[in-house]
Amino acid sequence: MRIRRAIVVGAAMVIVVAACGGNGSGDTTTTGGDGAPQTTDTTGDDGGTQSVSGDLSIVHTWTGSEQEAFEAVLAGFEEANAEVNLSRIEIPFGELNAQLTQQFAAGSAPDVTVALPGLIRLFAAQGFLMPLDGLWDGWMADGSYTEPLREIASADGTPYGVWFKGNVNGLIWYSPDRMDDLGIEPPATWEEFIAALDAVEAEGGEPFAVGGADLWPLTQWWDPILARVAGADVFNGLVDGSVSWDDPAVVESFEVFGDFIANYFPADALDRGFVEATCARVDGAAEFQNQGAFVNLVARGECDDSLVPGEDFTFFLMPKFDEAAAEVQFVSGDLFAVNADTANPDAALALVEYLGSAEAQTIWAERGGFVAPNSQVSTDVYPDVNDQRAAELWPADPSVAAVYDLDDFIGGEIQTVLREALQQFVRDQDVDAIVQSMVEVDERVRG
Amino acid sequence: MERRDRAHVMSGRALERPDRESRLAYAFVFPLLLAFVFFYLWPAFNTLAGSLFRWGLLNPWSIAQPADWDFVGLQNYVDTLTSARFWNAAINTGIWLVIFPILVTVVSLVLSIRIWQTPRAGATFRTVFILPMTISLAAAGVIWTFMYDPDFGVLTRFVEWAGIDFAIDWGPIRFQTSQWLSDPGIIDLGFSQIRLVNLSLIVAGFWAFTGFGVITFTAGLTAVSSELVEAAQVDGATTRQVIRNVLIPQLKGPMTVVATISVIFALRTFDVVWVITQGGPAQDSEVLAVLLWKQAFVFLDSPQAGLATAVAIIMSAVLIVGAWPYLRGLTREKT
Amino acid sequence: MRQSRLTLTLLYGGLTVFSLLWLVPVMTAFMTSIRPLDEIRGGWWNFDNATFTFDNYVRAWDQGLASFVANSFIITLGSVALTVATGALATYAFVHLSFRFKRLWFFLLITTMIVPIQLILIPLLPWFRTLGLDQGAWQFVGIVLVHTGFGAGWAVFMLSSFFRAVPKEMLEAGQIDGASHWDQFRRLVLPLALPGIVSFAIIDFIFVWNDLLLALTLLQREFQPIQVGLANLQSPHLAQQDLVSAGAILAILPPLVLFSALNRYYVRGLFAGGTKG
Repeated sequence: MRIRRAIVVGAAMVIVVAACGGNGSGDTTTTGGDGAPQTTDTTGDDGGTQSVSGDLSIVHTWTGSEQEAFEAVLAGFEEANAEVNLSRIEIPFGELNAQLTQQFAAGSAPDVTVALPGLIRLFAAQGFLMPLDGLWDGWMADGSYTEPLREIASADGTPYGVWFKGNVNGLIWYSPDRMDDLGIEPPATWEEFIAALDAVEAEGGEPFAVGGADLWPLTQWWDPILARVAGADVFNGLVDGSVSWDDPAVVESFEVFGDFIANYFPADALDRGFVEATCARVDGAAEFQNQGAFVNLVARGECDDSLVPGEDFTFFLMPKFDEAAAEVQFVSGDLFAVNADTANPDAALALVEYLGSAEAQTIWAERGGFVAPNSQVSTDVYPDVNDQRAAELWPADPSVAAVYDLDDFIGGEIQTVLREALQQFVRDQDVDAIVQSMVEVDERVRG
Repeated sequence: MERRDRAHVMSGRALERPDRESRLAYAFVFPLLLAFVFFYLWPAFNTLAGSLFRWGLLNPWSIAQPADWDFVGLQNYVDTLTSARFWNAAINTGIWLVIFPILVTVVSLVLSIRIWQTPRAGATFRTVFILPMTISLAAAGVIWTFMYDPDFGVLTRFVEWAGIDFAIDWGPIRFQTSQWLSDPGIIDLGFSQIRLVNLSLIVAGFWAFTGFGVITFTAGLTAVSSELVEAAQVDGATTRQVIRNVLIPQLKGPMTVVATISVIFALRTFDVVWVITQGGPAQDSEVLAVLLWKQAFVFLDSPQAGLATAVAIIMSAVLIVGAWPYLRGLTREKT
Repeated sequence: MRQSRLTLTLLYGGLTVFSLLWLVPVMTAFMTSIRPLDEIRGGWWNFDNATFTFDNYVRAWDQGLASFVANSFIITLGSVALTVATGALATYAFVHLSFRFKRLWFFLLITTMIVPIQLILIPLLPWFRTLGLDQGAWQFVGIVLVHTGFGAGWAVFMLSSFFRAVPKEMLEAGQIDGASHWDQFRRLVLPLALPGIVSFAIIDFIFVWNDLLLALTLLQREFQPIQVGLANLQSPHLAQQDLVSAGAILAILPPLVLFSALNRYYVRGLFAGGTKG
């Protein structure tokens, strides 16, 4: 009798307490106690003002050597704000969308989270994110960031994201020694580029290592080709929906990519992941890898730590497809956003202000494998020539058109379909099919 | 028990008895039913109701907020049933539904019989085959990813070592003994294509699940009376004849059970696929459960949770309708 | 069963080979977990200059596997305890008592054995939010309740075979002596059906321990069990097979240990589920 009653009462209590438990704010930390937040200056002036306190949680996607670097950055913030209890939550990159959706839907999202522009736009539309006009006004005023960069971090004209880690793409990595052996010079024009690839094939080598199994390397392949063949306007037009997927320039970019695949891609492009492909190139199984600047860190961290940047491995920028066309730089990177319902807005704002500052970005920049988006970071801080050259490519000049990683910018189903379609495209190079798929999903999603 | 109840009902005075017993019984079942109603029936109802609306997880449908409702009736079902992606997933699931039960039933049957023929080490052998059942499907998926790895996977190296590294391109069939997880082959049926990468995944699931068949068939075999077997042998039957004419007919019951549970497993499969390929490459191995997940949690640019719930209802309806006789029989038998 | 020597040899031989093949996947994971990653790149079956180490386990443990394992235990033990307690109570009523709508409830309960978990998955998120089960450690309570709700059918189904095995005469004798149903349940049925209950508990333990989808959907990072941790370690950003395999072996251990220690009960439980109907 007693046991049964206890069970029933217990169950009832659980339900009652849970039902009263309420409507969930953004508090996800397990240590209790909010400190009394002090007012922080949110007009974007850098560091050194009053410190904040309280609990704060931040979500990021870095592991391994990148995680260590990020920890060093966070340590800088914690030193300046000793009373903040900052908990970090690492979520695998592929799970980010799903996890953040669950958390925001459950009302228990972190205070600050890494987010790509596509996600920022989706979540901002739902009112989940805090507008960051104050921070951005300050940054624009002192020239830390350019207008194109602000655009990328915004949804509907209002900025919700803060740039932290930049990356330039369309870099073709190679080993200078092996290039010398093959008698090839780093190409400066498209024709030279093709000639170099043909030379590799003539020697019986494998031109490219492609990490197609991980999906995103394929988008990083096609995006620079699209940017170079079709130009920045068409590129951005695909993002906002003003350009259709069957636009002739877009179709041409697919055709160019298709030729590339047919002639120069390995047969097992879809079998290996990004890290394995990087190591395959390092080991000599392939000559080139089209990837971003972070290869500088990964090649050493995960493949062979005896590599000397610049000597053993370096890159050349994918040449312009059409010499007469304007300069377009394809970038990607990680931004951070603030939960609109955060329980500790002052600390959250202080954290993202810190992350967007030159000070924070310098910490990681010094470790390599990082391009600082804040133009106040001097190029001297980079530890090796690879990183320096990459940083120089960062569009700090407002006149250089910058386009952001297309699928990350669009997000949602279109992103997924594009990635899957690219995998299929690698297999069959069927331009009509991929255009058709993209037109369909675009219509379905955007109407 | 039943006879007594009826007797009570017939004598008017005893009408109180069933009521009192009913109330007492409810006291016993109440805790379980509480969890059951709140965390199964109510969400299931919500899924059904939610499938009639257009909504996304960023802005979930709630029965308590009629102002936010976007009623679309059966449109979600229509959209789903006319969606190429849905049918692709359905076909992949279909491959599972056909191949997986056959593989599991046949192999576990053969294994059980062979083990039955070797009584001495029987327990050891059985343990080996049952072992993978204790492993989670996520872990099994991880393990098989190693097996299929193109660089250092056991399967890849074995193929090289044994020299069975080949590719066929014969009519509608294309097949190669490599790239197990990206493109081992296709069978082109004209109206659609069967992607053989599904087979790679089915093998992993089969490895994890066959133990269930072994247990069931072994139980069935121990129920076969030894006299029957001896009598057949005395009559001069060979082992093969004994198996064919005595054992197998007696195993019809277990065969049904194994096949049925395998079919249910195949339809629900998510873990193995998710851990190994996430439904890729492209949509080659995307089964219904994976599609549903993506619609609810990944495709956030348009509200697709309504579609996802429609898929869930379709899956459940198919299963319940298919298993209806089984369920009815079970209810009658056990209550 | 008389069989020729040749047949027997072939059989034993064949079964042994097949068994060894069957174990290869687990061996692969185990070997990968106890050797450094660069050695594995050459294939784990190369034993020249092999170094064995538990370093991968240590690193995986430090990288958060420890909390995953702890979460797994909390969720699994909680679910099993609740399911067994409520399930045993309910099954007694289903087997020995009659009550209104009994058939209907039973039918609804066994649909859980057939329908996919996706049927309840999606609304659970907003539902948890409404109930406040998405906050902190309440998530454990929430997922335990879902496992119980979804496992209710299996519980009643399996336990009823064991409860039914208690001879009716003993029950009737007890009733004549004036024992209440509660007494009978506690003193008579429970002890006699205990082996069956243990069997079910083991099966439920393994089932909940191995769950991926519910945990993936409902739980935040800090509360996730090891299966989700494992699926996440596989993420396509790093090739860390050494850590993943260590994680896989850790994920396998508790069910494996349970299984070997209580083999008899596990098999009996599955028999009960499998051979009826």
